[in-house]
This record gives sequence, C-alpha cells and structure tokens, in this order.
Amino acid sequence: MSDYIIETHDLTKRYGNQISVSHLNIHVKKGRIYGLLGRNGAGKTTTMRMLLGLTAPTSGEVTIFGKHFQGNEKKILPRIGCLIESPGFYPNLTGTENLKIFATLRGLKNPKYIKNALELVNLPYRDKKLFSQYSLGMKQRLAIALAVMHNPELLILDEPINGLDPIGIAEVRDFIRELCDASGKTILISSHILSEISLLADDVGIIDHGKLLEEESLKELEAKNAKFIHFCVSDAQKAAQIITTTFSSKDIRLADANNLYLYNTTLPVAKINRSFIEAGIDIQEAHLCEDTLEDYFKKITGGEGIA
Amino acid sequence: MVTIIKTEFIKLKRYFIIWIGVSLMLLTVLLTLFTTMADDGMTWDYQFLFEQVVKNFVTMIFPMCITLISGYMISREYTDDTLKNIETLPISFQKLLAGKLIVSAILSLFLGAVCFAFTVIANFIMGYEGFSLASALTGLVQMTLLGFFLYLTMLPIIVLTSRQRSSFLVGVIVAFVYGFIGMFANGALESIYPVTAALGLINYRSGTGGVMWNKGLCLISVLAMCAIGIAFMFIKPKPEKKEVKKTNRPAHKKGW
Ligand SMILES: Nc1ncnc2c1ncn2[C@@H]1O[C@H](COP(=O)(O)OP(=O)(O)O)[C@@H](O)[C@H]1O
Ligand SMILES: [Mg+2]
Repeated sequence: MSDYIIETHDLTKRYGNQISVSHLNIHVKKGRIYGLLGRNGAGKTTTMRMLLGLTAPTSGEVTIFGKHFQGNEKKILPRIGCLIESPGFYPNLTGTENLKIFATLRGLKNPKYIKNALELVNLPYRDKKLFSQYSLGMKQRLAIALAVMHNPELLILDEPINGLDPIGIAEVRDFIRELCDASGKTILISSHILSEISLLADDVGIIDHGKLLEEESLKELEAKNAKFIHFCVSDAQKAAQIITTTFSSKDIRLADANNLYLYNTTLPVAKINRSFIEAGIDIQEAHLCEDTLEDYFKKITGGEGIA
Repeated sequence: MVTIIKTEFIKLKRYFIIWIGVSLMLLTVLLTLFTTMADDGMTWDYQFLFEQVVKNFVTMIFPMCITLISGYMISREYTDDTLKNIETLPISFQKLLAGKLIVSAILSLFLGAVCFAFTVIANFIMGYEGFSLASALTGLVQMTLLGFFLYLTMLPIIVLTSRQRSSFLVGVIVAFVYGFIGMFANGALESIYPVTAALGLINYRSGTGGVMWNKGLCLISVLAMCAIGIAFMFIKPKPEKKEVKKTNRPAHKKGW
C-alpha cells in the first residue's frame, strides 16, 4: 500500500447535472499539512464531505489510512477530527456542555479532554455563556476544539480560520503547525485564501470548478514561479532589439512603448543597462521581479494574470 | 444507546420546547375549565373534570404536542447543523433517532403526569367534590400511561417526518387531525381507531357504563401503530426527497 493517509481515485460528485467535484485525485502524505486551495464554490467542502462519508460520491473511491473508506467508516472515522463549513452546535447549551455531548458520545469520560481542547483554542472551561451568545470567532474556535478533542491522527479542517480576527488566525495557524510538527498529525486544510495556505501548508492542491489543477509541494510551487526583470525605459522597442542582438536572448515581452520584460534572469543586468545608455535609451527603472503565488494561482485557474 | 439517551437529556437543558409542552398541558386543563362556564346544568365533580381533561388531552392537545416536541428534537439536528458532527463520530442517523424516540417516550410519560398535576390543582381551585387519594393514584397512572400510549400511536408520523428539515410541521397538523377524528369514533371503531384505543388501554370511563372496550383490539391497534413507526425507521434514507413523501398516505390508512 502507499504511504498516503488520504488518497482519492477519480472522486466525482454530481448534483443534478452540475458537477461539483470531477475526477479528483488527491494524495495527502503522512505527517504533513495539505492545503486544498480553491475559490468559493470550487468544490472544497464537497470533497471533504465525501472524505467523511457525509455525502456519497457519485463515482470514484476514497482510501484513508490505507483502507477503503466505504465499509470501514466505523474504523476510520474515530481516528479523524473534522470541521466542515460552519460550526454546528446546540445554541441552548454552553461551549463546555456542547463538547461534553460529543465527548460522551465518543466515550471520553475524563473531563480533561474537554478542558484541554478548550484551552488549546483559548476558550474558557465551564463558562456560563451559551453557544447562541458566542461571536463567530468563538464559534469557530469551539468547532476546532471539537475537532482536536479526541486527539485524532488526521484532521480535516474546512476553512478553519473563517470568522477569526487576525490575531486568532495567527494563533490557530501556530497550533495547527504545532499539531503537525510536535504530534505528527496529518492535516488536510482547505481555504480560499492563498496567503493562508502558503503560510501553513507543506503540500498544495489547487482545485477549480471541481477539478484538481495542480498538486505539489509548496517548495516546488514556489520554484515554479516566474522570475523576470522589468525594464521601464524611454524606448522599449529599441531596447528589445539590443537584447535580442547583443545578448542573443529572445525571452522577452514588450508590454508597451516603455515597458519591457526579460525572462532570462541570468543575463548581466548591469551590462544591459550600459548598452541601453550607450544607445541613447533612458532607463527609469530596472528591477528583478517575481510572480507571487497569487499571480500563479490566477494564471492556472484562468483568471487575469499580469505576466 | 445509553450514552445517546444521556446526551439527549443534556440537549434538553434550557430548551424552550419543554416549556411549550408544559404550557400545552396547562392549556388542556384551562380549556376544560372554560367548558365549565357554559352552564348546561351539569354538576361538576372531580371525576367529571378528570374525564373532560382526558377527552381534551386526547382529541385536541396531546397528539399535536408530542409530535411537535419530538419533531423539534429531531429537526434541530438539521437546523443547528449538528448532524454532521454526530455522523462523523460515527453515529448513524438511525441510532440517533432511536435514542431520541426513547427520550420522547419518557417525555410523553412526564407530560401525562404534568397534565394530571394541573388537573388536581384545578380541582382544588374549583373546589369540586369527589377527590380522594385512591382516585388520584389511579388518575396519575392513567394519564401518565395515556400519554405514553398516545405517543406510540403517533410514532409513524414522527418517524416519517424525521428525514427532512421541517416536514415535522406537516406532521403536527396531521397529528392534530388524527387526534381530533378520535372524537367521532364510535362503538367498535373506538377500540380500533388507535387514538381512542389508547383510551381503552387505560380503561377510560369503563366503570360508568360509558364504553365497552375490546381490550385485545385496543392493544393490537396501538401496538400496530408502534410497529409501523419502528418499521419506518428502516426505510433507507434517500437524499433525494421524493421517497419519503410517497409512503406518507398509505401509512395512515393502515391505522384507521
Ligand atoms: N447539496 C448541494 N446541492 C446542490 N449543489 C451543491 C450542494 N452542495 C454544493 N453544491 C454545489 O457544488 C459546488 C461546490 O461547492 P462547495 O464544495 O461548497 O465549494 P467550496 O467549499 O469550495 O466553496 C458549488 O457550485 C455548489 O453550488
Ligand atoms: Mg466551502
């Protein structure tokens, strides 16, 4: 068997004639954080619901911990902690009472489990406040507490930082990182916020319109990003000629009369500049640029990109 | 299963629906007291009050009340979005439903007892004759059990409407009609129609020469409804909504 914790084979979900998830093949490695990145409506939640058996796939298979999910739910699910979409709790109960319900159902008798989980997300234990009076951020924290309470090996977190304030986001990010590094947990996390994924994930899957467009480690992804030198000059046409003739590089793009992009970053920039000046071209700017992940994301999902 | 029942009780804490139930029990007694205003020359005593309360309990309030409470307890798992947390434990919807139905059964006993308590209080306020400890004891047992038996006859409605978010409200209306029709059941029909059969099981008014109950039929009728309800639990859940509705109609015909 492979050493993937989660593996899907052509996982597909169809609602009526709309395909929400299409032939998805994701591979989540042990002890790593896998970020599923996609716009709203890309199919992240649907994918996670299928991984947890909350929604039946139209076709395709899910393998978790090396076992087929279907038929092994009772063995697999207790080893997973999850948070799917909005936090769902009983509004007439306090946070502690809510967790007590799920702890009891899981057979966790020791109140320590509840206490620790609440501590982890910075919520008070045995507080009088009812869930209906919680702020969105507190609700989200409680949902995270529920996901980690029973110390599962695998966490499936659907947009866990939704509704948190910036400090809360940083806290949650830190402890998710900690759960992975210190306790060796495998974590599948989804987000539509690219910076979150790039700050947290080891591996990234990019999903758009239900299809997995890319799957690789964050390092590879970053290395793929285009680097280029941007020249802002008085005569870009002439400058382009100099580069093609004198430096024999065709790896350029003329944006307009003044802007020129050179994609071969190994060329000697200082020498190019001197040649420009000698040819009577004024240089306003010349600098090395790098596409952000965001640009890359836009590019591969077919959105507007700059380069 | 014990843990599911235990957690169901935790979920009821501060839950408004319990108070609606208690209020409805109070309403049953108040409704009965209002009819005393219509002075038709009857002299009321405790026994008569009790019988009138039972009549309103059966035909007006309780079927609707217990269907409402059970329906709320079930549908909240959808509306509060907690079902996903329970199903990923994993606990199946069926098991959860079974736990809830047992808790509802306990609540039906409780509400029966509450209604009886209100009846006794009303009797004291009105100062009717004929109240004795012995009659109180039988009355308590009778009304408590009546709640439970009526609940059993409502099971098919409760289970059928459990698969969808708010179809239980339809169930509440059906339950009301179902109970109300009991008012018109006569003769042998009284032992067959499940709602009135529940009355037979508690021996309602048999002493005063009112009704001749066929206890066997009563028992069969109530148990049949209970069995139908339990059978409905095993209908495979269909995410597509059509399946559940189709089975709705034949179900009730069987009972009548
Ligand atoms: N129960 C459902 N019925 C019909 N369509 C659905 C359902 N759930 C999700 N969808 C559709 O599937 C697509 C993917 O949704 P979702 O997985 O929630 O996206 P994401 O979580 O990435 O924002 C959306 O177009 C959504 O409208
Ligand atoms: Mg989503």
